[in-house]
Amino acid sequence: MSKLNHAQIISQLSKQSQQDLVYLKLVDTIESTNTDVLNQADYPIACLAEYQTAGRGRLGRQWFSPHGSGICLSVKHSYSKLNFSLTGLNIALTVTIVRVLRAFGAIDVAIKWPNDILWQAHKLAGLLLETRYISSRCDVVIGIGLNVKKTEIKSIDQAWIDLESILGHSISRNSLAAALIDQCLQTLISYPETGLAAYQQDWHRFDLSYGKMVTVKIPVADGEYKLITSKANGIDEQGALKVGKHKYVCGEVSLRL
Amino acid sequence: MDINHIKQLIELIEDSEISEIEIHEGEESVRISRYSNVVAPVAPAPVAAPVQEVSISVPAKSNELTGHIIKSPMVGTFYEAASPTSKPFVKEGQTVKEGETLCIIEAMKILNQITADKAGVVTKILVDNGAPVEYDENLFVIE
Repeated sequence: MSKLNHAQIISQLSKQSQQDLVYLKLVDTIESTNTDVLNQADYPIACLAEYQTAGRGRLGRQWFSPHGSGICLSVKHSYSKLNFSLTGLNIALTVTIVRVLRAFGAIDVAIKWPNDILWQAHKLAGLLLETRYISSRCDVVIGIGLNVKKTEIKSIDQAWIDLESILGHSISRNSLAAALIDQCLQTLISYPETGLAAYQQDWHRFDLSYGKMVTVKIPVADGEYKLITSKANGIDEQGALKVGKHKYVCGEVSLRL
Repeated sequence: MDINHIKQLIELIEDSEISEIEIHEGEESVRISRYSNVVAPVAPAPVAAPVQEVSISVPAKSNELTGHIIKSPMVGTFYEAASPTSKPFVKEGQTVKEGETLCIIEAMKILNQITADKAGVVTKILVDNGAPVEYDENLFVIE
């Protein structure tokens, strides 16, 4: 199993990203790549690891990936003012990552709002957007956990898939990491100017729920929630999910796949 | 409860200092929350559970706290640690520097690290791990 290689990754970045990126940190084992970049002062930066001891997702969930089997990547940028919706940026980054995966040949990869990346109802990648407000700045980190190699794990509580099984051949993790860093970095930098408009068309192509009946589970109080079932109509310009006559920026979406 | 009634409630809450209001009428109920400006919710969510009595609850603000209070900038879920296997960011009695992360609040599918805007000793942690927090709710006391 070939290891991630710093020089190879940097050489495959676009000229623009080579200029923009302050540094890429490549480590073997780390607690969490998101935590690491959030604790650094520089930006934009990226951190890539072969293994995370405390990889994490939303709702206090864990992200687990065996050593050297995937991509554990975080890319951080920082904004002096937040004149855009973070929900929209979350959507834009998800579209960006699906574009990269499709360019590598995984054409059936799709999205469940807002940022679940699935292939035929199997989880391929987990994304986690994190922010940190400090002084007058807001740091934003996109964390990507992507399954690349086939591994034997029995303790995962949901159906999952790896990229090589989808493609039917092995791929270079260095090339994939370079493309993800390159594209996510450029989305983070350009988003305040482009907004969601540059991503909306692709979103509707990739959106699994578009035009289908979905159930949205919305938390309302301590441990209580409400279920709303209606037809999904894509997203609005802020990235909110349109379901029936309503729009949602939070809640869990389920649909029959 | 008709739509005009709900509209009146929204106007009422917009003109007030109240961050959240929940009203039950027979088997129907509605809860309206005020969120932070950064990411505004688009749809207020009605509550499903049938409740007998009519009640209006407003979160009480404690006036007894002294010292510098860190409040929640958003509605979300409070986490004391970065992951279930990590140690809490801070414990009561711990000294923190300005800019140090105190907790994470998950909102709108995004994890937001809340930092100390003042150095000092964390004398009180006012919220339990995993608990929902309201906009402007008191989270920590730093002295």
